Amino acid sequence: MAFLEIYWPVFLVGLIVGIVVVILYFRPKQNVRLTDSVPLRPHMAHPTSSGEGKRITDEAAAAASDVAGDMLNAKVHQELPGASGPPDDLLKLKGVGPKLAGILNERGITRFDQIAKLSPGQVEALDASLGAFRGRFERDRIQDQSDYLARGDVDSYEAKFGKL
Amino acid sequence: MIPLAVEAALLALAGFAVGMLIGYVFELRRRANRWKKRI
Repeated sequence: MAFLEIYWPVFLVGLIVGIVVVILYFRPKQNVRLTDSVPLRPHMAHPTSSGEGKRITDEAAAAASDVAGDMLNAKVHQELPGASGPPDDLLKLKGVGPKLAGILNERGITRFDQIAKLSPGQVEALDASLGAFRGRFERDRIQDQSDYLARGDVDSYEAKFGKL
Repeated sequence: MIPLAVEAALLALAGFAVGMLIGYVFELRRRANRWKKRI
């Protein structure tokens, strides 16, 4: 046992290394997994490319351009996406009745892809101007519906929102 | 007779094994505690 009396530090080092290895092996790991497998839909493609944001600098900039645009008699606000092609039947969208469809048509919105392409800022501005129909866009997920219908993906639409 | 270097290496290995065992036992206890807390 004279050997142990001399070499016990070797055993101790081995012990410590073993404990450290186990701790490293079992240490808590991050459970969140990041994925990029979610398909990018058309209205999500350029979320920051247009429209007015919600931050205070954006609001200040919007207010300044409002006033300056008024004074200069210039169109400072971005136009809603224009219609290209024959109009769609907006009444197919759940939550859109004849009256709301009429209002949207007045604003130049006649096709599903126009609604699908609206930026979050544009949706907000449009929604705010709808009067009694305010909140419909979000509540009935009209943009999501339009996105499916614009792509002609009726099966997915019906799976999500019910029969057309 | 086993050479001294080999003996020392075996001792280190034994220490490593015991260390891993101790660490594993503590990990099992930690898991058991977490499981109990969940219930």
